[in-house]
Amino acid sequence: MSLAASPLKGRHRWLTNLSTLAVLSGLLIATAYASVTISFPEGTRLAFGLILAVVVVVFNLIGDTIEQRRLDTLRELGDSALAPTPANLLVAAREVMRQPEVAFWLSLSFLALGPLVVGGLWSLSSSVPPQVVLQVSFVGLIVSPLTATLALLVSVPRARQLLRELVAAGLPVTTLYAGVPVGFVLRRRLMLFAAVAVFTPLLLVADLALTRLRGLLTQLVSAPEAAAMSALADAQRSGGLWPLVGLVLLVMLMVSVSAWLSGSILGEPLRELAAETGRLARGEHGEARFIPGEYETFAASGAIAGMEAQLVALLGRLGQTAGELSGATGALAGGKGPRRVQNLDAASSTTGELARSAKEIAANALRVSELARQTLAAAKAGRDGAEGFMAAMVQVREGNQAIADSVVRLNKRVQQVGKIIEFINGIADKSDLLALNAELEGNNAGEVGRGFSLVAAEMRRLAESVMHSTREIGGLIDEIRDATNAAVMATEAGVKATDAGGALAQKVGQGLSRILDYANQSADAMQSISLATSQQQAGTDQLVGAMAEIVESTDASGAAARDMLAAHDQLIALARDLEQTVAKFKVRS
Amino acid sequence: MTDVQAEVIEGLVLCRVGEDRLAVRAREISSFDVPHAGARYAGEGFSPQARAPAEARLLRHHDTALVVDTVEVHSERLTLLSVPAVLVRAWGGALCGFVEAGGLLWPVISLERFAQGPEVVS
Repeated sequence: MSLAASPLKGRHRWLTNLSTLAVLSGLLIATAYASVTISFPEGTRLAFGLILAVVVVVFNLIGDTIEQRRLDTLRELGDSALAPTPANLLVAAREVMRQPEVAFWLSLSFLALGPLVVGGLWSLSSSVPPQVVLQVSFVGLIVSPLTATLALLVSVPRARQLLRELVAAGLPVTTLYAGVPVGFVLRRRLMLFAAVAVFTPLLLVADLALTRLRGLLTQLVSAPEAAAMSALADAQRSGGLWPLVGLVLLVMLMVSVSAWLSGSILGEPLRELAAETGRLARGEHGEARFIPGEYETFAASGAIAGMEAQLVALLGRLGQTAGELSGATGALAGGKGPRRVQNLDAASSTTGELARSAKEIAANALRVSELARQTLAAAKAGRDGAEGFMAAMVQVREGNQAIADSVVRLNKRVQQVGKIIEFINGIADKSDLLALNAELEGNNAGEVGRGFSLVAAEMRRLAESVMHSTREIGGLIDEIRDATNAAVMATEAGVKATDAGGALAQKVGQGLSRILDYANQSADAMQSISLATSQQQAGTDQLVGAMAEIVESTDASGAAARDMLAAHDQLIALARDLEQTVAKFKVRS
Repeated sequence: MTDVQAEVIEGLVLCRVGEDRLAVRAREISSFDVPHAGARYAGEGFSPQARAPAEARLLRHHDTALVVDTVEVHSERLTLLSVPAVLVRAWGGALCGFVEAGGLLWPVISLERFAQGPEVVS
């Protein structure tokens, strides 16, 4: 993913340029001072110059590397290697705020150590007296505080400018104030600046004077005569002072610049803070503004920004509360209290009706539950009856079938009896004819056959009696046959009827089973409903009691409401005053 | 057209009256006896001057009696041949039909009606 060109590109170099220039300025002063005050042995100046150049380059490279490594996040933001998120911008802000201190300590270290290194290398490469080497090292020690102070002070304005740019790039002001640690060291820094401004020229002048005096005394002591001494004194008076004057002026210039910059460290933030607090005092509020500063001024700026944010939120809530208060007092004046009392009376009445309804519902549910239980019992009895009826129908069917079978067998027997009767009738008929013939023959025989004829006639009567009986039996058999046929048909119809009745009874049994299931479910449901309605009744009774207490409380609070109504006029006046007071503040969005 | 089932008669008493023949169902005859005065002679139905011979037989059935010349019991099964209604009325309602026995046609009569005489017929 390629990011757009960042406005922070190259700003890490821009931030450290002036501190490097300050170091070079200090180096220039030290070199000039050394050239004026130190008597270089013959033939060693070139070596000194070369060693000095190499040390300056090497130390500059080392210092630049250290500084840039402490600005990695800022560099990556400038190179668009990092997204400008608030977290990354905050890290970069921390790096920027640390940079003046880093420049201070690096300059102090390099200006203090550099002459020692140069003097050491110089003494190793040439035959230089140790006193000269010490003088070179001393110059570095004198110039280093001033140079470090100058490096710090020239870095501060650029660090402030970069912090503004980071805020413009999306770093929230509140995050910046909350996320950067503050060191309350302004007093020590000012003491350091003052000491450097005072003691550095003094030491330089004192060292210069002592060095010149020591050289003059050496020359005077070694002078051969008084005229030579006088000539040395005149030469000392007439010439050789201008380089010293120039050196002092240069030092004074650096001191002046340092003093002006140190004053600006306090002056600019204080001026902006004064303007911001003045704006707050005028009631012009808006979003918190970033006022760059260091040490205590940074803390003060953060505190004022937080105070402004809290004040804006407080004013917002105050205005909202004033509006609500005004609305509430207006509503109170509008007489919602009495309506609430009326509503409570209506609610109490409705709750009473609800309680009565709940009692009726509970009683009805109990009755319905009892009916459901009775229905369940009746359904059980009906199912048992249906099952018994089905068993009886099966028995009836079996009985009918047995009767039908018996009737069929009886019909067959009757038919056999009919055949037997026919056979007997035929015999009787034959007997009748035989007896008739015998009677005729006996009659033909005259008196002799008279007895025979009487016997034959008696036999004919017997035969006729038999035939008469057989005719009656035949009629009875016919009746029995008809009756058995009717019985067979009736039993068959009975079997069919019992089959139909059995099927119907089975359907009735199934229906009663379903009715039993439904009745069982209904009984369970009604039991649950009865329980629920009982609980509801208890809850409604409690509600009635609570509503009664509420009504009593409402009656009791009626007097308080009237007092409140009497006081609401004062509250309205107070709210209006509050709104007017809040309206004086101009909150900018 | 109606199909009339022919009646079968088992047990007939074949009677001769002069030259004429009569047949009576055996069950209509209770007993045979010697003719007595007052008993009706069957030959009077064919000829008013006809008289019963001495060896005549009396056919009795309850209170009805009829005198014929000779009597013979025929026990075979015979088919009763139906006769027209006009012929039945000509016989005074006493003719039931004819049967064939011994190669001859025999008129089957009702003993009770035939014994009551021609006044019954009208």
